[in-house]
Amino acid sequence: MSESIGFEDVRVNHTSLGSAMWQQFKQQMGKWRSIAIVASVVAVSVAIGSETGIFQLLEWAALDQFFALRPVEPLDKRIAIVTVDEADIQHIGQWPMPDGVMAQLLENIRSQQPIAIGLDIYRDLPLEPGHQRLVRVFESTPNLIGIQKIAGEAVAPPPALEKDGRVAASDNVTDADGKVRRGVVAIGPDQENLIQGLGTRLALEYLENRGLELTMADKAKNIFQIGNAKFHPVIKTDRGYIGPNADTGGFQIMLNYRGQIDRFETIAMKDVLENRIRADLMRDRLVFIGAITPSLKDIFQTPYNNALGQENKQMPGIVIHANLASQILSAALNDRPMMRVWGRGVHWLWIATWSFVGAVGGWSLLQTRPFRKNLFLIGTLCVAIGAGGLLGATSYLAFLSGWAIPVFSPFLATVASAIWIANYHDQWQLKQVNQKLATTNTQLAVANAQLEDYSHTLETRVEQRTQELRQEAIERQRAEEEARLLLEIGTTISTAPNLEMALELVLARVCQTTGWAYGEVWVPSADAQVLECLPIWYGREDAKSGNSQVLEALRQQTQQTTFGSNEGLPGRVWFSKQAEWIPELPSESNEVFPRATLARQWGQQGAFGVPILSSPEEDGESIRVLAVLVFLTPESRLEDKRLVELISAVAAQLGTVVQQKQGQEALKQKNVELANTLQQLQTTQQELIQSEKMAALGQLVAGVAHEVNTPLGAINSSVRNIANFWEDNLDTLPNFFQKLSPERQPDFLALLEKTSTRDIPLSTREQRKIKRSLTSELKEKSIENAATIANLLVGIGVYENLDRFLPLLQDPESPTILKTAYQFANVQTSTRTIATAAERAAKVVFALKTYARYDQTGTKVEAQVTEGMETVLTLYQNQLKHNVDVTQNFDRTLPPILCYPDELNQVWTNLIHNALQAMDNKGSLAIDVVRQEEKIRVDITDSGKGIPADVLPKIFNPFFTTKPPGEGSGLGLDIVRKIIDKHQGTIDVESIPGKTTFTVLLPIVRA
Amino acid sequence: MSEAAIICVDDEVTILQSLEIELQDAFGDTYLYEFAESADEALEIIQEFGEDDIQVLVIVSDWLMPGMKGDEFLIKVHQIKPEIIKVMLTGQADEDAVERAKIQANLYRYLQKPWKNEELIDTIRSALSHL
Repeated sequence: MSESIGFEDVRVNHTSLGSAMWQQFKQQMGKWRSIAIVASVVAVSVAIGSETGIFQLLEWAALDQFFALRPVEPLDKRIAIVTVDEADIQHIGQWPMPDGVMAQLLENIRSQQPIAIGLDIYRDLPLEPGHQRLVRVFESTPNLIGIQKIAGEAVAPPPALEKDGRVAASDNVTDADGKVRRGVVAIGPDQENLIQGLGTRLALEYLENRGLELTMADKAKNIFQIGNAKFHPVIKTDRGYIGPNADTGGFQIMLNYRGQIDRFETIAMKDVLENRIRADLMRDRLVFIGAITPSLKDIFQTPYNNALGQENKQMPGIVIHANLASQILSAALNDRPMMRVWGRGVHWLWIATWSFVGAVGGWSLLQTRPFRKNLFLIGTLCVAIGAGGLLGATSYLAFLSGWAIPVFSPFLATVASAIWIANYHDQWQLKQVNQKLATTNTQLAVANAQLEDYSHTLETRVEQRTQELRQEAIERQRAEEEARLLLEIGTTISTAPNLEMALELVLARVCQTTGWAYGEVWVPSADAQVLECLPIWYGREDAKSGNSQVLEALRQQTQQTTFGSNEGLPGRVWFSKQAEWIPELPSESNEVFPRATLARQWGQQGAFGVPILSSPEEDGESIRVLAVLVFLTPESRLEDKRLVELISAVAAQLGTVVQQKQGQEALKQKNVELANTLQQLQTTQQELIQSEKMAALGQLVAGVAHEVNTPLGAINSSVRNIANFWEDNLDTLPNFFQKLSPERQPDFLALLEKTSTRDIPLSTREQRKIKRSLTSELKEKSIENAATIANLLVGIGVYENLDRFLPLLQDPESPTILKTAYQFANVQTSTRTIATAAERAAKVVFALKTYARYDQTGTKVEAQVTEGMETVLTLYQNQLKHNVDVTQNFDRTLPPILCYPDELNQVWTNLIHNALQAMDNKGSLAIDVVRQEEKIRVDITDSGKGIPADVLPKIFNPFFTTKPPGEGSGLGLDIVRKIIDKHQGTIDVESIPGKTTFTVLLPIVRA
Repeated sequence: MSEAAIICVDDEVTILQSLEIELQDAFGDTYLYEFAESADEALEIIQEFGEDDIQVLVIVSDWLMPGMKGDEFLIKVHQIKPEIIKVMLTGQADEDAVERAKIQANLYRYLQKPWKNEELIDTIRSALSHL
């Protein structure tokens, strides 16, 4: 919208969109309100003016102009006018014309057979000669209508016509400007006695003649109709062309002139009298007779007068009547419009409309760019011309279609509105600018106020901030001091040689910092029943010297005092585990403050107690109060939260330190205990070493028992077997030999030979294998009891070549022979067993003897290292003989060395035992005893799983063991090393999986 | 041929030979006698007998042997064939081991080397009479 453009800068001052819209709406409202006011005021004014009739002349002039402008209409051939001119008067020689002439005239016309004749000439009085003739003509001419004058100077109708009711009114109504614009349909002295106007009467005669009848179309509005013609009466309230003072009596309609006299066919009266009438001029027509000469005064002003472009000619009354008749006929028969006017309401509306058009148009125009700047004169002119043109055109078109619409009053309203609105617009623009200025001013004022306010608060703020900064600085300083204090106390405590000194230093430091005079420490008694005061304390120097007696008394009392839980200040702190501040001590001692009197005497006012707490995480139990610090303050003041916090922080630090110090002391105690334990352990170790030795011996003895008992068992059994053999067979043998057939004797001897040529006993597996093959072979050879026979054969020593003994086997005596041979073989076996077992037992006993030979003599003796090694191997033979491949590489040229042979045996036993365990008694064991420079080198290598690298460095440590608890003392290798050390030798180990070598180097020392 | 067997286990062949003679003398061909030099070998024999449907009646085992010890062996046997009567014959045995065998292997008798012939045979005989 173009309006909004001008307000943009106003609008942008408002931040909120809603308020901007409201502002715009308000402006729009303001504009429309202005327009409405202007338009309404103008409309009302113009309407009032219109009511008073001041525009009437101008309105009429406009209408008259329309008549003049209207295209010329065709002749109305339904009407003929007989004119009476000066020439006619001269022709008849006198005026008014005598009745006889009139009669002649009428007769002539009547003979032409018109539909009706309107005689617009007064004839109220007889005018001889020829009156009787005229009367006769009147009476005999039924379609003759005479006239009378109703209004003003009334003129009576011709009596002869009156009695037949063939009289019409000759009256014409004029407007204030003397022009005739209305036609008289009916008129009368009053509304009850109306007679039709002449034109109307004749038109109705014509239409009735055509079969049409006048009917009432709308009784309420008094509208009549005939044919298509509707008679809308002009009434008092009609406006526009009907002036306020117009006489609208009777029944008048607006005249819609066809034209002037030339729109009708005329004939001069002289010609009619002389019967020079055109044949078709009057037949079936309406004939009007009237004077046209101005001298007869029946002549009127009409719209055609004074109109532009029209000759100034007045219209004879007869032409007006003819025009009215023509109007009615054309309306009824040809649809030519009648002429109508608006009522007052519509008129006013019309004025108001144009008033608005003017206002809106004017405003709009002035808002457009070309007219923005004070061009309201031209603008108004444009509106006037535009509106006038539009109005004129509209009204003219309306006129042509039968509506007489006022032109001037709406035009006036338009122009007046336009002018006024232009003026208003000017003012409005000014106002807008002013408003803008005012707004700007307001904003400036607000801004100014804000600035002022800000400058004012700035001072306050700066002051505030300064205060804050100062406060911050003070606090920072305090915090720094506190931090320094804490740090100092921290170092003080940690560097103090003992706890008491640390506490003393803390008391001093706190008092110096706070300005307090006195500090002491309370700690729970050993049974934790009461608090006792430590002998350490702090008293300010000046205080000490100044009033030393009181202070001394105070100390003395303190030393004698204890506090139970929740008793006195220390007890209360102990109980609550929280710092407590006493702003004001009582002036005399009481139950709560037993030392108050002395403290007061000494000049102390307040007191402060703070607990030193254990840190919970160290104990894992509830927090304990380690100690309570109590201070006396020389001045009475309210609790200083900061100070309390600070001292609490110090106390917290102290708590940690106290615990540490206590911990250190406990540690010292532990150390002493540990030293004692170590001593005990060392003693125990000696015992352990001995017991280990005994354990090794016990193990050995167990093995030895087995090694001896086994051959003994074998010997025992064998002896018994041999005895049994003789017992069983002594009697039967001679019999057997006697019975033995000569063929079987060599077989038997061959079997006996087999028994004696048996090699080393077969392993049980081999035996089973041979038994199985023999059994199957015997079965093949169809020998009965194959399994039993095979068993006997194996026992005898026959493992193969059964063919040799086939005859024997097939002999029926074969079982006895074989059984006997088997028993002989058993005797032999038993004998051998006894020999082997005895040998073994002897060897074991010898080894045992060797092993224990040098036991605990305490002095070194010369001995062969290889011999000791062999002894150990003999003792371990039981465990070595199966599954272990023993390789011995002994240098037999080695000299004997000075040593403790039994202890060295213990070393070899231990190392071999370990080796066997490492390889689960399966694998290879290599033992090398060789010379390496001036040393004897012993390598014991096993093919076991090896010693892991992380275990290797620890194996010589005492009590180190990889065995499950209870299975080994873990002292074995420790003892080994100790023994090697004793010989000034070394022992080393190298291990990878599959090869672990213990290397012992012993110096060759001779006696 | 007999379907019942007696097995002797000892790492010492001389012992096994002595036992064989003793058993043969006492029971003759009534039973099958088998001898093993180790527990593993004995277990093999037991398995073979199981396949041949030969019933093992008695096992006489040494304790101190290379590899599996006697108590362990007998416990194992007990797990497989609880019905076999187990006798331990040894020159030296850990007391705990004997105790273990008694409890876990239902050891029938513990004989010490050197043993008496009658003692052994009587033991086996009484054991057999239990069957």
